Amino acid sequence: MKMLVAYFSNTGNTEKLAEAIHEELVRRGHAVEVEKIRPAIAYSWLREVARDFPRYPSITLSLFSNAWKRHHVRTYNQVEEDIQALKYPDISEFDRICVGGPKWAQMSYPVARYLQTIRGIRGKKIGAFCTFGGPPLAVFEIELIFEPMRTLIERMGAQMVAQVCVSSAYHAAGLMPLFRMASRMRFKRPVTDFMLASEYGKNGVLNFCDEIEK
Amino acid sequence: MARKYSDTVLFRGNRFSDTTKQIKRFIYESVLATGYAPKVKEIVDAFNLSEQQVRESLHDLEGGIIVALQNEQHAHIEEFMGQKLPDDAVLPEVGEIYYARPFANFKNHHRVFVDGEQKWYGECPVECTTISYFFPGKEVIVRSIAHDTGEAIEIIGKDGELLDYTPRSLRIYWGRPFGTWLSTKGHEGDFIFPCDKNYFFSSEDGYKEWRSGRSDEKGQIFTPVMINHLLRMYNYGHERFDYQYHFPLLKVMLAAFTVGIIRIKMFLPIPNPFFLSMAKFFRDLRKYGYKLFLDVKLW
Repeated sequence: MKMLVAYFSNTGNTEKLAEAIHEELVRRGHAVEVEKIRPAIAYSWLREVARDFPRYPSITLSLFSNAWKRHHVRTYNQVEEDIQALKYPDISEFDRICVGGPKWAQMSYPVARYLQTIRGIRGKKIGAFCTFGGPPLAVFEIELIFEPMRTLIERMGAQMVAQVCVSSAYHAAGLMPLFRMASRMRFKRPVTDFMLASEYGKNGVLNFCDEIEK
Repeated sequence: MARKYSDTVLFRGNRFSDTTKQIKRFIYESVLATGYAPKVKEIVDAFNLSEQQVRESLHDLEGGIIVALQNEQHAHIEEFMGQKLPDDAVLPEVGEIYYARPFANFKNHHRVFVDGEQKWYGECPVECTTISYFFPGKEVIVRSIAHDTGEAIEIIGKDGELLDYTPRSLRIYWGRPFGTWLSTKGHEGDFIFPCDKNYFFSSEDGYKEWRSGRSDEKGQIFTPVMINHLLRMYNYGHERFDYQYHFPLLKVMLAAFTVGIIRIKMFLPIPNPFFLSMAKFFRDLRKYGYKLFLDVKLW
Protein backbone atom coordinates (compact mmCIF):
# COMPACT_ATOMS: atom_id res chain seq x y z
CA MET A 1 0.00 0.00 0.00
CA LYS A 2 1.03 3.61 -0.48
CA MET A 3 1.19 5.36 2.87
CA LEU A 4 2.05 8.78 4.22
CA VAL A 5 3.55 9.45 7.64
CA ALA A 6 2.97 13.13 8.50
CA TYR A 7 4.24 14.48 11.79
CA PHE A 8 5.11 17.57 13.72
CA SER A 9 7.93 17.32 16.25
CA ASN A 10 9.05 20.07 18.59
CA THR A 11 11.85 18.40 20.53
CA GLY A 12 12.57 15.33 18.39
CA ASN A 13 10.56 12.78 20.44
CA THR A 14 7.63 12.56 18.02
CA GLU A 15 10.12 12.41 15.15
CA LYS A 16 11.61 9.25 16.67
CA LEU A 17 8.13 7.72 16.95
CA ALA A 18 7.38 8.70 13.33
CA GLU A 19 10.67 7.13 12.22
CA ALA A 20 9.86 3.91 14.09
CA ILE A 21 6.45 3.73 12.39
CA HIS A 22 8.01 4.55 9.03
CA GLU A 23 10.68 1.86 9.39
CA GLU A 24 8.15 -0.77 10.46
CA LEU A 25 5.81 0.01 7.56
CA VAL A 26 8.69 -0.07 5.07
CA ARG A 27 9.86 -3.39 6.58
CA ARG A 28 6.38 -4.73 5.87
CA GLY A 29 6.75 -3.83 2.22
CA HIS A 30 4.70 -0.64 1.98
CA ALA A 31 5.68 2.41 -0.05
CA VAL A 32 5.90 5.09 2.60
CA GLU A 33 6.42 8.82 2.12
CA VAL A 34 7.18 11.22 4.95
CA GLU A 35 5.83 14.71 5.49
CA LYS A 36 7.35 16.85 8.21
CA ILE A 37 4.90 19.50 9.36
CA ARG A 38 6.76 22.72 10.08
CA PRO A 39 5.26 25.76 11.80
CA ALA A 40 5.57 29.01 9.89
CA ILE A 41 7.06 30.75 12.92
CA ALA A 42 9.02 29.30 15.84
CA TYR A 43 7.60 30.76 19.04
CA SER A 44 9.59 31.32 22.22
CA TRP A 45 9.34 28.63 24.89
CA LEU A 46 7.42 30.95 27.20
CA ARG A 47 4.83 31.95 24.61
CA GLU A 48 4.36 28.36 23.52
CA VAL A 49 3.76 27.16 27.07
CA ALA A 50 1.66 30.14 28.11
CA ARG A 51 -0.88 29.52 25.37
CA ASP A 52 -1.94 26.31 27.07
CA PHE A 53 -2.42 27.78 30.54
CA PRO A 54 -6.07 28.87 30.10
CA ARG A 55 -6.99 25.25 29.42
CA TYR A 56 -5.42 23.78 32.55
CA PRO A 57 -8.36 24.38 34.93
CA SER A 58 -10.80 22.71 32.55
CA ILE A 59 -8.43 19.80 31.95
CA THR A 60 -7.96 19.34 35.69
CA LEU A 61 -11.73 19.24 36.19
CA SER A 62 -11.95 16.65 33.40
CA LEU A 63 -9.90 14.28 35.56
CA PHE A 64 -12.55 14.27 38.26
CA SER A 65 -15.77 14.43 36.29
CA ASN A 66 -16.76 12.44 33.24
CA ALA A 67 -19.54 14.89 32.49
CA TRP A 68 -17.07 17.76 32.50
CA LYS A 69 -14.62 15.77 30.34
CA ARG A 70 -17.35 15.28 27.73
CA HIS A 71 -18.20 18.97 27.93
CA HIS A 72 -14.52 19.91 27.61
CA VAL A 73 -13.92 17.69 24.57
CA ARG A 74 -17.10 18.95 22.94
CA THR A 75 -16.66 22.65 23.51
CA TYR A 76 -13.01 23.62 23.78
CA ASN A 77 -11.52 25.70 21.02
CA GLN A 78 -8.65 23.99 19.31
CA VAL A 79 -5.81 26.43 18.74
CA GLU A 80 -4.06 26.23 15.38
CA GLU A 81 -1.04 27.91 13.91
CA ASP A 82 0.20 28.53 10.40
CA ILE A 83 2.36 25.85 8.86
CA GLN A 84 4.85 25.97 6.02
CA ALA A 85 3.99 24.77 2.54
CA LEU A 86 3.44 21.00 2.45
CA LYS A 87 5.17 18.49 0.20
CA TYR A 88 1.87 16.61 -0.14
CA PRO A 89 -1.01 19.11 0.24
CA ASP A 90 -3.28 16.59 -1.49
CA ILE A 91 -3.24 13.14 0.08
CA SER A 92 -5.70 11.48 -2.26
CA GLU A 93 -2.91 9.36 -3.83
CA PHE A 94 -2.24 7.59 -0.51
CA ASP A 95 -4.11 4.54 0.77
CA ARG A 96 -3.37 5.18 4.44
CA ILE A 97 -2.28 8.27 6.34
CA CYS A 98 -0.50 8.35 9.71
CA VAL A 99 -0.64 11.72 11.44
CA GLY A 100 1.10 12.58 14.68
CA GLY A 101 2.47 15.21 16.98
CA PRO A 102 3.03 15.95 20.64
CA LYS A 103 0.12 16.51 23.00
CA TRP A 104 -0.01 20.16 24.03
CA ALA A 105 -2.91 20.07 26.47
CA GLN A 106 -4.81 19.26 23.28
CA MET A 107 -3.74 18.57 19.70
CA SER A 108 -0.52 20.43 18.93
CA TYR A 109 -1.36 23.53 16.95
CA PRO A 110 0.51 22.70 13.71
CA VAL A 111 -1.12 19.23 13.60
CA ALA A 112 -4.56 20.78 14.08
CA ARG A 113 -3.91 23.11 11.14
CA TYR A 114 -2.54 20.26 9.04
CA LEU A 115 -5.71 18.22 9.52
CA GLN A 116 -7.83 21.27 8.72
CA THR A 117 -6.06 22.03 5.45
CA ILE A 118 -4.98 18.80 3.74
CA ARG A 119 -7.02 17.93 0.69
CA GLY A 120 -8.37 14.56 -0.32
CA ILE A 121 -8.92 13.29 3.22
CA ARG A 122 -12.54 12.22 2.70
CA GLY A 123 -12.94 8.45 2.79
CA LYS A 124 -9.36 7.84 3.95
CA LYS A 125 -8.23 5.58 6.79
CA ILE A 126 -6.11 7.52 9.25
CA GLY A 127 -3.80 6.40 12.04
CA ALA A 128 -2.97 8.85 14.82
CA PHE A 129 0.16 8.83 16.95
CA CYS A 130 1.38 11.13 19.66
CA THR A 131 3.88 11.67 22.42
CA PHE A 132 3.23 13.19 25.83
CA GLY A 133 5.13 13.88 29.01
CA GLY A 134 3.51 11.52 31.46
CA PRO A 135 2.52 7.88 31.57
CA PRO A 136 -0.43 6.76 29.39
CA LEU A 137 -3.15 8.03 31.72
CA ALA A 138 -6.48 7.01 30.20
CA VAL A 139 -8.19 10.39 30.40
CA PHE A 140 -5.53 13.06 30.87
CA GLU A 141 -3.17 11.86 28.17
CA ILE A 142 -4.96 9.48 25.82
CA GLU A 143 -8.58 10.61 25.60
CA LEU A 144 -7.87 14.32 25.67
CA ILE A 145 -5.83 14.07 22.50
CA PHE A 146 -7.31 11.19 20.57
CA GLU A 147 -10.98 12.03 21.10
CA PRO A 148 -10.75 15.51 19.55
CA MET A 149 -8.57 14.08 16.77
CA ARG A 150 -11.06 11.30 16.07
CA THR A 151 -13.96 13.76 16.12
CA LEU A 152 -12.28 16.10 13.63
CA ILE A 153 -11.19 13.27 11.33
CA GLU A 154 -14.70 11.78 11.30
CA ARG A 155 -16.31 15.17 10.70
CA MET A 156 -14.12 15.50 7.63
CA GLY A 157 -15.47 12.20 6.30
CA ALA A 158 -12.42 10.05 7.11
CA GLN A 159 -11.99 7.25 9.61
CA MET A 160 -9.48 6.89 12.44
CA VAL A 161 -8.47 3.24 12.49
CA ALA A 162 -5.34 3.11 14.64
CA GLN A 163 -3.67 5.00 17.45
CA VAL A 164 -0.45 4.78 19.37
CA CYS A 165 1.02 7.00 22.06
CA VAL A 166 4.26 6.87 23.98
CA SER A 167 5.79 8.98 26.70
CA SER A 168 8.57 11.40 25.89
CA ALA A 169 9.36 11.99 29.59
CA TYR A 170 9.51 15.68 28.75
CA HIS A 171 7.16 18.49 29.68
CA ALA A 172 7.74 22.02 28.42
CA ALA A 173 6.25 23.63 31.54
CA GLY A 174 8.38 21.49 33.87
CA LEU A 175 5.61 19.26 35.24
CA MET A 176 7.63 16.04 34.95
CA PRO A 177 7.97 15.52 38.75
CA LEU A 178 4.16 15.39 38.92
CA PHE A 179 3.99 12.91 36.05
CA ARG A 180 6.70 10.71 37.58
CA MET A 181 4.70 10.62 40.79
CA ALA A 182 1.49 9.86 38.88
CA SER A 183 3.23 7.04 37.04
CA ARG A 184 4.44 5.49 40.30
CA MET A 185 1.02 5.84 41.92
CA ARG A 186 -1.12 4.72 38.99
CA PHE A 187 1.07 2.13 37.24
CA LYS A 188 3.68 1.31 39.92
CA ARG A 189 6.26 1.81 37.18
CA PRO A 190 8.55 4.67 36.13
CA VAL A 191 7.63 6.88 33.19
CA THR A 192 10.60 5.46 31.24
CA ASP A 193 8.67 2.17 31.00
CA PHE A 194 6.28 3.91 28.60
CA MET A 195 8.83 5.46 26.26
CA LEU A 196 9.44 4.40 22.67
CA ALA A 197 12.42 2.20 23.53
CA SER A 198 10.40 0.25 26.12
CA GLU A 199 8.40 -2.91 25.55
CA TYR A 200 5.26 -0.75 25.76
CA GLY A 201 6.50 1.54 22.99
CA LYS A 202 7.71 -1.24 20.68
CA ASN A 203 4.47 -3.21 21.03
CA GLY A 204 2.50 -0.03 20.50
CA VAL A 205 4.22 0.61 17.17
CA LEU A 206 3.69 -3.00 16.04
CA ASN A 207 0.00 -2.94 16.98
CA PHE A 208 -0.41 0.43 15.28
CA CYS A 209 1.09 -0.92 12.05
CA ASP A 210 -1.11 -4.03 12.29
CA GLU A 211 -4.21 -1.86 12.58
CA ILE A 212 -3.30 0.65 9.91
CA GLU A 213 -2.55 -1.97 7.25
CA LYS A 214 -5.85 -3.84 7.75
CA MET B 1 3.48 36.60 11.33
CA ALA B 2 1.97 33.27 12.26
CA ARG B 3 -1.43 33.46 13.79
CA LYS B 4 -3.57 31.17 15.83
CA TYR B 5 -7.17 30.61 15.05
CA SER B 6 -10.53 30.31 16.74
CA ASP B 7 -9.55 30.41 20.39
CA THR B 8 -11.10 33.81 21.02
CA VAL B 9 -14.61 33.29 19.70
CA LEU B 10 -17.05 35.49 21.62
CA PHE B 11 -20.19 34.74 19.67
CA ARG B 12 -21.06 32.01 17.22
CA GLY B 13 -23.74 32.54 14.65
CA ASN B 14 -24.96 29.50 12.76
CA ARG B 15 -22.41 26.82 11.92
CA PHE B 16 -22.25 24.95 8.63
CA SER B 17 -23.18 21.31 9.08
CA ASP B 18 -20.38 18.77 8.64
CA THR B 19 -21.95 17.63 5.36
CA THR B 20 -21.97 21.23 4.13
CA LYS B 21 -18.33 21.60 5.14
CA GLN B 22 -17.45 18.39 3.33
CA ILE B 23 -19.25 19.65 0.23
CA LYS B 24 -17.41 22.95 0.52
CA ARG B 25 -14.12 21.06 0.78
CA PHE B 26 -15.08 18.94 -2.24
CA ILE B 27 -15.82 22.06 -4.28
CA TYR B 28 -12.51 23.72 -3.42
CA GLU B 29 -10.52 20.53 -3.99
CA SER B 30 -12.00 20.42 -7.47
CA VAL B 31 -11.28 24.11 -8.09
CA LEU B 32 -7.68 23.80 -6.94
CA ALA B 33 -7.08 20.63 -8.96
CA THR B 34 -8.83 21.59 -12.20
CA GLY B 35 -9.59 25.30 -12.02
CA TYR B 36 -13.34 24.65 -12.06
CA ALA B 37 -16.00 23.80 -9.48
CA PRO B 38 -17.91 20.53 -9.81
CA LYS B 39 -21.45 20.40 -11.17
CA VAL B 40 -24.26 19.80 -8.70
CA LYS B 41 -24.78 16.33 -10.18
CA GLU B 42 -21.14 15.46 -9.46
CA ILE B 43 -21.59 16.52 -5.82
CA VAL B 44 -24.76 14.45 -5.58
CA ASP B 45 -22.92 11.39 -6.92
CA ALA B 46 -19.82 11.88 -4.79
CA PHE B 47 -21.76 12.17 -1.54
CA ASN B 48 -24.59 9.81 -2.30
CA LEU B 49 -27.09 12.49 -1.25
CA SER B 50 -30.30 13.65 -2.86
CA GLU B 51 -30.14 16.76 -5.03
CA GLN B 52 -32.41 18.46 -2.48
CA GLN B 53 -29.87 17.85 0.31
CA VAL B 54 -27.00 19.15 -1.80
CA ARG B 55 -29.05 22.21 -2.78
CA GLU B 56 -29.73 22.91 0.92
CA SER B 57 -26.00 22.82 1.63
CA LEU B 58 -25.26 25.07 -1.35
CA HIS B 59 -27.96 27.45 -0.13
CA ASP B 60 -26.16 27.67 3.23
CA LEU B 61 -22.80 28.14 1.51
CA GLU B 62 -24.32 30.90 -0.57
CA GLY B 63 -25.66 32.62 2.55
CA GLY B 64 -22.22 32.25 4.13
CA ILE B 65 -20.71 34.16 1.13
CA ILE B 66 -18.69 31.10 0.16
CA VAL B 67 -20.28 30.26 -3.20
CA ALA B 68 -22.71 31.96 -5.56
CA LEU B 69 -25.05 30.04 -7.83
CA GLN B 70 -25.77 30.91 -11.42
CA ASN B 71 -29.10 32.67 -12.03
CA GLU B 72 -31.17 33.89 -14.96
CA GLN B 73 -29.77 37.43 -14.79
CA HIS B 74 -26.21 36.19 -15.40
CA ALA B 75 -26.86 33.15 -17.60
CA HIS B 76 -26.16 34.92 -20.88
CA ILE B 77 -23.75 37.74 -20.03
CA GLU B 78 -21.23 38.69 -22.67
CA GLU B 79 -19.27 41.08 -20.50
CA PHE B 80 -17.85 40.31 -17.10
CA MET B 81 -16.88 43.22 -14.86
CA GLY B 82 -16.56 45.56 -17.81
CA GLN B 83 -14.51 43.22 -20.03
CA LYS B 84 -15.71 41.01 -22.84
CA LEU B 85 -15.66 37.34 -21.87
CA PRO B 86 -13.09 35.19 -23.74
CA ASP B 87 -14.55 33.44 -26.80
CA ASP B 88 -14.06 30.01 -25.23
CA ALA B 89 -15.60 30.99 -21.87
CA VAL B 90 -18.41 28.64 -20.86
CA LEU B 91 -20.81 30.09 -18.33
CA PRO B 92 -22.27 27.69 -15.74
CA GLU B 93 -25.87 26.69 -16.25
CA VAL B 94 -28.56 28.13 -13.99
CA GLY B 95 -28.33 26.56 -10.52
CA GLU B 96 -24.69 25.54 -10.93
CA ILE B 97 -21.79 27.11 -9.06
CA TYR B 98 -20.83 30.47 -10.54
CA TYR B 99 -18.34 31.59 -7.91
CA ALA B 100 -16.46 29.54 -5.34
CA ARG B 101 -15.05 32.64 -3.76
CA PRO B 102 -12.41 33.89 -4.49
CA PHE B 103 -12.49 31.80 -7.69
CA ALA B 104 -14.81 32.14 -10.67
CA ASN B 105 -16.09 28.99 -12.34
CA PHE B 106 -15.50 30.25 -15.89
CA LYS B 107 -12.77 31.88 -17.93
CA ASN B 108 -12.47 35.62 -17.48
CA HIS B 109 -9.87 38.36 -17.45
CA HIS B 110 -8.74 37.80 -13.81
CA ARG B 111 -6.14 35.11 -14.49
CA VAL B 112 -4.38 33.47 -11.54
CA PHE B 113 -0.84 32.12 -11.93
CA VAL B 114 0.86 29.75 -9.49
CA ASP B 115 4.38 28.50 -10.24
CA GLY B 116 3.92 29.68 -13.83
CA GLU B 117 0.79 27.57 -14.21
CA GLN B 118 -2.53 29.21 -15.01
CA LYS B 119 -5.77 27.32 -14.71
CA TRP B 120 -7.65 29.42 -12.18
CA TYR B 121 -9.75 32.56 -12.63
CA GLY B 122 -10.39 35.15 -9.97
CA GLU B 123 -13.86 36.16 -8.95
CA CYS B 124 -13.35 39.89 -8.43
CA PRO B 125 -10.63 42.48 -7.82
CA VAL B 126 -11.48 42.69 -4.13
CA GLU B 127 -11.14 38.94 -3.46
CA CYS B 128 -8.09 38.66 -5.73
CA THR B 129 -5.96 40.43 -3.14
CA THR B 130 -6.08 37.45 -0.74
CA ILE B 131 -6.47 34.58 -3.20
CA SER B 132 -2.97 33.35 -2.25
CA TYR B 133 -4.41 31.85 0.96
CA PHE B 134 -5.40 28.90 -1.20
CA PHE B 135 -1.84 28.14 -2.29
CA PRO B 136 0.11 28.07 1.00
CA GLY B 137 3.79 28.92 0.72
CA LYS B 138 3.53 29.79 -2.96
CA GLU B 139 3.81 33.09 -4.78
CA VAL B 140 0.52 33.77 -6.51
CA ILE B 141 0.20 36.28 -9.36
CA VAL B 142 -3.12 37.69 -10.49
CA ARG B 143 -3.02 39.32 -13.93
CA SER B 144 -5.99 41.37 -14.99
CA ILE B 145 -7.03 44.49 -16.88
CA ALA B 146 -7.61 48.04 -15.67
CA HIS B 147 -11.18 49.17 -16.30
CA ASP B 148 -10.26 52.74 -17.25
CA THR B 149 -7.27 52.27 -19.58
CA GLY B 150 -7.34 48.58 -20.49
CA GLU B 151 -3.70 48.24 -19.43
CA ALA B 152 -2.41 45.07 -17.79
CA ILE B 153 -2.29 45.01 -14.02
CA GLU B 154 -0.59 42.53 -11.73
CA ILE B 155 -1.00 41.61 -8.07
CA ILE B 156 1.51 39.36 -6.33
CA GLY B 157 0.68 37.71 -3.01
CA LYS B 158 1.81 34.94 -0.72
CA ASP B 159 -0.10 33.30 2.14
CA GLY B 160 -2.77 35.98 1.91
CA GLU B 161 -0.32 38.87 2.15
CA LEU B 162 0.15 41.36 -0.63
CA LEU B 163 3.79 41.35 -1.79
CA ASP B 164 3.64 43.72 -4.74
CA TYR B 165 1.36 45.19 -7.38
CA THR B 166 1.71 47.10 -10.64
CA PRO B 167 1.06 49.81 -11.58
CA ARG B 168 1.90 51.42 -8.24
CA SER B 169 -1.05 53.77 -8.71
CA LEU B 170 -3.46 50.78 -8.86
CA ARG B 171 -6.84 51.25 -7.19
CA ILE B 172 -9.68 48.83 -6.54
CA TYR B 173 -13.26 49.94 -6.92
CA TRP B 174 -15.72 48.15 -4.64
CA GLY B 175 -18.92 48.78 -6.50
CA ARG B 176 -21.78 47.88 -4.20
CA PRO B 177 -22.21 48.69 -0.51
CA PHE B 178 -23.36 45.78 1.65
CA GLY B 179 -26.80 47.25 2.11
CA THR B 180 -27.55 46.93 -1.63
CA TRP B 181 -26.31 43.37 -2.02
CA LEU B 182 -29.52 41.44 -1.63
CA SER B 183 -32.29 43.97 -1.76
CA THR B 184 -31.69 45.79 -5.06
CA LYS B 185 -34.80 45.61 -7.22
CA GLY B 186 -34.49 42.88 -9.81
CA HIS B 187 -31.60 41.25 -7.93
CA GLU B 188 -33.29 40.22 -4.69
CA GLY B 189 -31.37 37.34 -3.12
CA ASP B 190 -28.82 37.42 -5.97
CA PHE B 191 -25.33 36.62 -4.61
CA ILE B 192 -23.55 37.27 -7.91
CA PHE B 193 -24.84 40.82 -8.13
CA PRO B 194 -22.68 42.24 -5.25
CA CYS B 195 -19.45 41.78 -7.22
CA ASP B 196 -20.67 42.75 -10.68
CA LYS B 197 -19.24 46.24 -10.53
CA ASN B 198 -15.89 45.66 -8.84
CA TYR B 199 -13.12 46.99 -11.05
CA PHE B 200 -9.41 47.63 -11.15
CA PHE B 201 -8.43 51.21 -11.99
CA SER B 202 -4.96 52.14 -13.15
CA SER B 203 -4.98 55.28 -11.01
CA GLU B 204 -7.14 57.46 -8.82
CA ASP B 205 -7.29 60.06 -11.61
CA GLY B 206 -8.59 57.44 -14.02
CA TYR B 207 -11.23 56.49 -11.47
CA LYS B 208 -12.29 60.11 -10.95
CA GLU B 209 -12.65 60.61 -14.67
CA TRP B 210 -14.76 57.46 -14.98
CA ARG B 211 -16.84 58.40 -11.97
CA SER B 212 -17.64 61.95 -13.08
CA GLY B 213 -21.21 62.13 -14.23
CA ARG B 214 -22.08 58.73 -12.79
CA SER B 215 -24.13 59.80 -9.83
CA ASP B 216 -25.85 56.42 -9.65
CA GLU B 217 -22.59 54.67 -8.68
CA LYS B 218 -22.52 53.97 -4.96
CA GLY B 219 -19.17 52.22 -4.64
CA GLN B 220 -15.92 53.39 -3.11
CA ILE B 221 -12.30 53.22 -4.13
CA PHE B 222 -9.54 51.65 -2.05
CA THR B 223 -5.83 50.99 -2.42
CA PRO B 224 -4.83 47.33 -2.84
CA VAL B 225 -3.08 47.52 0.55
CA MET B 226 -6.29 48.65 2.28
CA ILE B 227 -8.37 45.92 0.67
CA ASN B 228 -5.76 43.28 1.42
CA HIS B 229 -5.55 44.39 5.05
CA LEU B 230 -9.32 44.35 5.39
CA LEU B 231 -9.84 40.98 3.75
CA ARG B 232 -7.03 39.30 5.62
CA MET B 233 -9.00 39.91 8.79
CA TYR B 234 -12.10 38.16 7.43
CA ASN B 235 -10.59 35.67 4.99
CA TYR B 236 -7.83 34.28 7.17
CA GLY B 237 -8.10 30.50 7.23
CA HIS B 238 -10.43 30.34 4.22
CA GLU B 239 -8.76 27.09 3.10
CA ARG B 240 -9.58 25.39 6.44
CA PHE B 241 -12.29 22.75 6.82
CA ASP B 242 -14.06 24.64 9.62
CA TYR B 243 -13.81 28.08 8.04
CA GLN B 244 -16.65 30.50 8.02
CA TYR B 245 -16.46 34.26 7.98
CA HIS B 246 -15.35 35.80 11.25
CA PHE B 247 -15.37 39.28 12.65
CA PRO B 248 -12.26 39.91 14.77
CA LEU B 249 -13.46 42.74 16.98
CA LEU B 250 -10.17 44.20 18.23
CA LYS B 251 -8.39 43.83 14.89
CA VAL B 252 -11.22 45.62 13.12
CA MET B 253 -11.22 48.40 15.71
CA LEU B 254 -7.44 48.82 15.47
CA ALA B 255 -7.50 48.83 11.68
CA ALA B 256 -10.66 50.92 11.35
CA PHE B 257 -8.82 54.03 10.20
CA THR B 258 -6.24 52.34 7.96
CA VAL B 259 -8.77 50.30 5.99
CA GLY B 260 -11.36 53.05 5.70
CA ILE B 261 -14.05 51.76 8.07
CA ILE B 262 -13.77 55.10 9.84
CA ARG B 263 -12.80 58.18 7.84
CA ILE B 264 -11.74 61.60 9.01
CA LYS B 265 -13.95 64.40 7.76
CA MET B 266 -13.73 67.95 9.08
CA PHE B 267 -11.32 66.64 11.76
CA LEU B 268 -14.00 64.25 12.99
CA PRO B 269 -13.96 60.45 12.79
CA ILE B 270 -17.00 59.45 10.74
CA PRO B 271 -18.00 55.81 10.27
CA ASN B 272 -18.01 54.90 6.59
CA PRO B 273 -21.64 54.26 5.51
CA PHE B 274 -20.32 51.73 2.99
CA PHE B 275 -19.46 49.40 5.88
CA LEU B 276 -22.22 50.52 8.23
CA SER B 277 -24.71 49.15 5.74
CA MET B 278 -23.52 45.66 6.70
CA ALA B 279 -26.26 45.72 9.34
CA LYS B 280 -28.84 45.97 6.55
CA PHE B 281 -27.16 43.10 4.74
CA PHE B 282 -27.50 40.90 7.84
CA ARG B 283 -31.18 41.80 8.05
CA ASP B 284 -31.63 41.07 4.33
CA LEU B 285 -30.03 37.66 4.77
CA ARG B 286 -32.84 36.64 7.09
CA LYS B 287 -35.42 38.33 4.88
CA TYR B 288 -34.41 36.20 1.89
CA GLY B 289 -34.26 32.95 3.84
CA TYR B 290 -30.56 32.70 4.55
CA LYS B 291 -28.88 32.07 7.89
CA LEU B 292 -26.10 34.21 9.30
CA PHE B 293 -22.88 32.19 9.29
CA LEU B 294 -20.49 34.38 11.23
CA ASP B 295 -18.19 34.09 14.25
CA VAL B 296 -17.44 37.19 16.30
CA LYS B 297 -13.97 36.89 17.77
CA LEU B 298 -12.13 39.00 20.30
CA TRP B 299 -9.21 39.36 17.87
